[in-house]
Amino acid sequence: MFIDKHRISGKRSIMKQMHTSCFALGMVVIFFFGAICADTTETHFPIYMMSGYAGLEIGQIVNGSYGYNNPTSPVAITKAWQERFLFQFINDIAVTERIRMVMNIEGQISFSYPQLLNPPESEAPRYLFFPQRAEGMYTLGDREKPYLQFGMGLFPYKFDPDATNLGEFIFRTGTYPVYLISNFNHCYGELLGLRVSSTLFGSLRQDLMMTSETLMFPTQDYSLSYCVHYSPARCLDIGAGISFAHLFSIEGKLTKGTSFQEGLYQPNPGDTTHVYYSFAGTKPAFMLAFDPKQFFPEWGNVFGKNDGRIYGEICVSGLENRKNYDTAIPPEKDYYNNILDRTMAMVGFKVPTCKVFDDLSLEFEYFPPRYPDSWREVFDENIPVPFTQDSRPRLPWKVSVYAKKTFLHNFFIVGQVARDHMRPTFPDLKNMEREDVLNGINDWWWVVSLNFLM
Amino acid sequence: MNHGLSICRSLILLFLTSAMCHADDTDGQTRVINHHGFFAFENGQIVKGVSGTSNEEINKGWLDRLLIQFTTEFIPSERIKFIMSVESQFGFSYPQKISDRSTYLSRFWLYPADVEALYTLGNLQQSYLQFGFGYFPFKYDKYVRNLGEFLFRSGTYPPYIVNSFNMPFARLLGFKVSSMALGSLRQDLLFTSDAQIFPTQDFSLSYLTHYTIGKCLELGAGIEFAHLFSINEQLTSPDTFSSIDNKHQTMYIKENGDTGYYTFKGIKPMVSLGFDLKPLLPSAIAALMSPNDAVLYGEACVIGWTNYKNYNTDTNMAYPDYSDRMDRTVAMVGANIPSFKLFDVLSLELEYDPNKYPNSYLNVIESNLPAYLVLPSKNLTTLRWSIYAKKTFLDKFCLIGQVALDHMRPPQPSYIQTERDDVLSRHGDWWWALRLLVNY
Repeated sequence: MFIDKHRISGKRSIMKQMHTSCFALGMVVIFFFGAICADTTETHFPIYMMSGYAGLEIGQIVNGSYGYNNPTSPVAITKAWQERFLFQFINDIAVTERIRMVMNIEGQISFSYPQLLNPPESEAPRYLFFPQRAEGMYTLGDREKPYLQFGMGLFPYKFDPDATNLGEFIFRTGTYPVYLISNFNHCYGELLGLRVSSTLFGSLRQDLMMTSETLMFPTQDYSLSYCVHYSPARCLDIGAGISFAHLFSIEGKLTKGTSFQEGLYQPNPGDTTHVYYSFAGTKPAFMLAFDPKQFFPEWGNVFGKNDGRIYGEICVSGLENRKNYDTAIPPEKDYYNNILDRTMAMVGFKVPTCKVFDDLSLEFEYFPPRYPDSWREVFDENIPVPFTQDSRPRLPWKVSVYAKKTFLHNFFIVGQVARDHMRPTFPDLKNMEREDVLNGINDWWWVVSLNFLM
Repeated sequence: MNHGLSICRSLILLFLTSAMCHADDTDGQTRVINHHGFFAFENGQIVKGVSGTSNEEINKGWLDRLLIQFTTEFIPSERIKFIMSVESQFGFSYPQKISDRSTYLSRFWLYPADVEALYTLGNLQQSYLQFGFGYFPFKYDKYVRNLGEFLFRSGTYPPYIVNSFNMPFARLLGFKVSSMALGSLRQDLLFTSDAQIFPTQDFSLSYLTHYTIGKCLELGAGIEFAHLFSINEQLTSPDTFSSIDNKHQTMYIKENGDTGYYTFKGIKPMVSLGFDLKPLLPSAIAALMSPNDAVLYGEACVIGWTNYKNYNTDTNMAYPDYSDRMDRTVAMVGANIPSFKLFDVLSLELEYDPNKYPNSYLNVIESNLPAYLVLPSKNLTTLRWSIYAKKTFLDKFCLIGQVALDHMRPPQPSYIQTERDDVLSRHGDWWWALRLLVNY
């Protein structure tokens, strides 16, 4: 991290220590030196901090399958090369003692998979630039752990601090239908909107967020979310959250797929009135992390900071059942009659490496595969029902091994081997992969990135 | 005793205060940020040319664009350097057609110009080893202003050459190891992924060496094993064809009657030479010259060493013809004309390209085949030329002009519409460009 123009020094506390012994020589020396450092003993705003990183990622889908534009006849993927180059400019500006702005611009050179003659753009490398974070914050209280902080803009939000690949369901799933998203080395939600955060008693953190949907149809709808994290002991972190997704619709008929017969169901057994399914849904989530090495403080220097942590998450991506009582609709189209179909869980373990790695995580995810993990109907038809035409067998388990190692202070290598929710990149939304490509027992991919950090 | 203790305490406090006042230096790291860049406005005209895609004549086709580059260099320690540079362009399409109204619109691009990390071992000025990775510009012939720099500005097979005004270098994605162990011997080993033209992502291995003899002579040689490591063999070396039209662009008949298949893989050897005449001139005359004056230089490159002779007796199936290596051997010579500080540099360059086929990657992009789509043409010029001048004034300003018959391709709004052929391909075709640039 670089401080560009002005630096916070904060050496006044040193001066305060002088009252115990006021011998002349010491005073003179300190005073003299204090005068030399006078320029740095006061904080001058604004403070510009500039940093960034860049990384070259290479990987391979060793086995998988993609549906592309014909999911009923998926095509096998074998040893499909994945590559991208990412870089990020980070500008962190302390405007005043309480106002802070962070602006991160991310650039990518990426390549499509598959590369096809039609569309020809899939053969060309793509240069993308987008805001990764653009956030303004106003802080009350301590700057590190404020009792109240207001934020607005585009910001990353991490519900489970330990998750490295799987998990983070609350802001990385869609409902209804349920689909999951994961993106290598981007294990957080990207939210646009307003945020109020509070840290009380040092260990109780709360976040209230009003955010606008930016990723998936129906976009722009506002969701209200509340998350709370508490550390009752050094060895334990617990958290809970709830997101009322698409609570405030900007256009009701988009949030409810009211133009399509497919989106109708009969919610009451005695009433033949049919209503439309809706994208609006409630997503409760819970997380827990346990750090057993806290019981062995004498081994503190042997282990890395994250070693030995056990963590997990559970989320219901759509709390309400929407059972259909119309017998004319076949049972397989009674999409949302069982809450367990929409419940997913993740457990992870930070493998102790005794500082060989910064992080070595093993993660498992369980999500019952009643329907494909797909947003095809959401994108192509704009209706809140699952895609059912994909016949690929699906395992309920996903798995990920993630490792990170920093060297020479400014460089780090990240590697991952996983069967997760990766979808290869494609140049346009029309042809973008809608389903997971890693579904079977032999499906997996690996990726390594070499990064430098400024 | 108490006095002594207090003095000690004061000194410790002094030490601590000192340490905190210079906290950025105490970890042994030098933390420097440099910002620089440029802003340039460019105008030009294709005075005479022909579109390879549409075959339409071009007369006085106007081109202009605005370029802005922001560069930030971070030097966190003596041996580590990060460069992050982004360039943007505001430009227009040529030609602008009513059949495609997107060509009427101005366009704004943003792309990385140089994003790399460097780690240096040994002497910082002439390191015996320097490692780098990222997306970086690479230039091996310091004298070239327009033509030349073939090794990384050409494709094979089919052989084609690209260049761009005031950009006599290539941008490469990957890793590099450089060495200047002996002071006058520079070596570069590069492992790079193709990020320009199909088949992208394939990795190429390249090695270059340059040796300076005395103050006058610089010799260089290099070799690129293009697409050496394919990420998809079927794309790099296709051995199936979708139609009979594609058949002869995919396969050929070997001398023994076996079927062979063309491939994008190729070996490109290169040699270069630079000869600075100034040390041979009387010192009084040499003193009147600018550092770039009176230099002769040249380069030759075989864009695809391997011959593929096709023994197919069907004349309709007898192309592409990769039977003669000389067809794929390009050369350039250049001279920095002494202007006696009137210009920073004034160069004249000539390029000889005996290729019988148009300089085109049309078939590469549109059919993904390592072959030409068209038959050889007799109208193509084999000799290209370029006159380039640069003048710095008021310290930060710079005027750059060029008149040339080179490999320019006018900008188009999308990848699919991009001109795949040279628009200056015949004797008499030419264009000019002028750039006003401000450095900051």
